[in-house]
Amino acid sequence: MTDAKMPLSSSAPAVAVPTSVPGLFQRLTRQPSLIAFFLLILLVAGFALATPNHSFATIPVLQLFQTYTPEIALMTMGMSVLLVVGEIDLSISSVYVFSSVIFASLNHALGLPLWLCFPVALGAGLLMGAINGLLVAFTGVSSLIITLGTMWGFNAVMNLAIGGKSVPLADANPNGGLQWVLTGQVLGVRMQLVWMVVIAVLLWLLLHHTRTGNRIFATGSNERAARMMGVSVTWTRVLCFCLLALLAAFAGVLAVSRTNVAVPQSGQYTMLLALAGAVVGGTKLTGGSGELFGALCGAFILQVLSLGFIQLGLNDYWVTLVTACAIILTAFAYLRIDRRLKR
Amino acid sequence: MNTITRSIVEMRGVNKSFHGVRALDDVDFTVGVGEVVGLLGDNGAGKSTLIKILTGFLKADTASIRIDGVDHQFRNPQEARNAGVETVYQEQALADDLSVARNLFLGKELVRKVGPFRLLDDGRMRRESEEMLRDLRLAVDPDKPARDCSGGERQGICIARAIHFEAKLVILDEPTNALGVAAVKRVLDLIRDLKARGIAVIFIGHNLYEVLEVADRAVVMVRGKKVVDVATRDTSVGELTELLMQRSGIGG
Ligand SMILES: Nc1ncnc2c1ncn2[C@@H]1O[C@H](COP(=O)(O)OP(=O)(O)OP(=O)(O)O)[C@@H](O)[C@H]1O
Ligand SMILES: [Mg+2]
Repeated sequence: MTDAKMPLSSSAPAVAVPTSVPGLFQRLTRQPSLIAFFLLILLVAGFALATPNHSFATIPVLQLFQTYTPEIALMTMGMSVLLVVGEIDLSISSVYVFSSVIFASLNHALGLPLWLCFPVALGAGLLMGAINGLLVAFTGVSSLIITLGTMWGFNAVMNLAIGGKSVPLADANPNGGLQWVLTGQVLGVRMQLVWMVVIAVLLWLLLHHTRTGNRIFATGSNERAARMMGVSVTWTRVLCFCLLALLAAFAGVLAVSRTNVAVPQSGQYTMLLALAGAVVGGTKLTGGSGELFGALCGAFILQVLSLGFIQLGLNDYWVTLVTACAIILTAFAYLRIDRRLKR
Repeated sequence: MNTITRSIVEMRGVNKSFHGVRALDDVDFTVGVGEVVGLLGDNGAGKSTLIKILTGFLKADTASIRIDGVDHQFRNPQEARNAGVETVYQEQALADDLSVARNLFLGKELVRKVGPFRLLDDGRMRRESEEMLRDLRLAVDPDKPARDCSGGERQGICIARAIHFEAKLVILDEPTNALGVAAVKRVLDLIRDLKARGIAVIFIGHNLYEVLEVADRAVVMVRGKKVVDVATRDTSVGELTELLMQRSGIGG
């Protein structure tokens, strides 16, 4: 070729990135999860300094995090994946509680061993996720509406099936068998924390290092383009719904394993926490981008906020108000950063 | 040039309406093996619709389609790609949030086995991307998000993708859109390259000079109907222009 030096594009020389902006800021803002992480560190340090006798940084308080937060964190991560693909699921609190009730009931009423109740409960969660995903895919109705419906639907079915009474485990044994595997303790570390880390790593692999992950991002970023390039966007969507529901079911089982009882009235806030955690972690609701590590941090940030302010002696309503402001403020901050980058 | 006997694409009686508006009216369209077909027509004539039906992105109301001599209709673009049909869509099918490399391999990602997992081979995808881009004289960093590419670069990425994978038919819907003079020449050279390698090409364009330069046959569509199907050596830019104007009811 004679035109060897000719660029394909007439405007090929790349526009130089303005170097006046510090490189660190640039890199940070490209990674909202890092912002979330620093925010988390800052909050923990802040509360540690602010609480009387630095009570926030003591072992008993930190223990609370590894006990309670993994359940929420599983759902924030799942929600974040679903948001990447451009969908939302309002029904996960119902999935969470229904699965936990199934887990306990099979043991309580039918005497099934826990290790058998466990896969059935997960399967039920998966089924509910598939119902959500397939309804969204084949009706074309937005996931906001579909899952608003199934949120009540799943709950109604649960109450019809077992009534509103709490279900205790018949073979409760917190320190042995399946319950130890799920929520026991090794060397001071809670098993649910271990599960959370393992699942986070697996999700990260899935999202960033597999074909499926690439197609999840592509579908959320530009569904039409993904379809044109031969991506099955329907299947990709359904998969994300299933994944989140499975994680919600797992969280539900963890809650029962931790407390030996399934409470049908519990978990109303899990959906809101999962959504808020994902948002605080830097996941946008517009699809195409999402941050697993950020979502993980988001779950902890929400818990740190509420525990921290309680430690400071603030009353519950104030804590809720502060959390509410934090959610809106962080979402706004991410938006500004995003605009600034895309300008 | 000898007459083409075998067809890679044979579409007959293609009809398609959008909300009652006829976009394609009983269109027959064929592409011979290794043949370059120029598809011409005014805006809204139905060119893109026709090729989207071919690749399975859209469903025809009625059509009989034979691919490589077999009665077969792609149900989705995935089947088309698996069967060796690569397409540059007019809409530039790029996911803005993905890197250039990830876009180039979207739907055909390279993987390697790591223990029980099949993980993306990002290293190889990046290296091959660099090569693909270099072949097109594109100075684009494969790691940067597609969002940050210029219009011409985006078009180039789509073209690079369409010609990279071992295809037997490459469909280019207005590939020279947004391209500078030198780049247009590159694309025309590439089409000749493909032809030399025995790969069939459907080239949709508005510039009659470009199309006649590389195409063996020109097909002209007017408002959903095929009105001309002629070997390019039997026609000229002047004749085609006149035809287009007359049939569109603009010219005398
Ligand atoms: N998804 C759609 N919904 C409704 N109408 C459509 C759709 N796609 C195409 N059309 C209509 O079908 C007709 C043919 O469109 P098409 O895109 O095939 O034209 P074209 O020949 O590719 O034009 P251009 O040269 O401008 O790209 C147009 O009237 C267009 O408005
Ligand atoms: Mg078109």
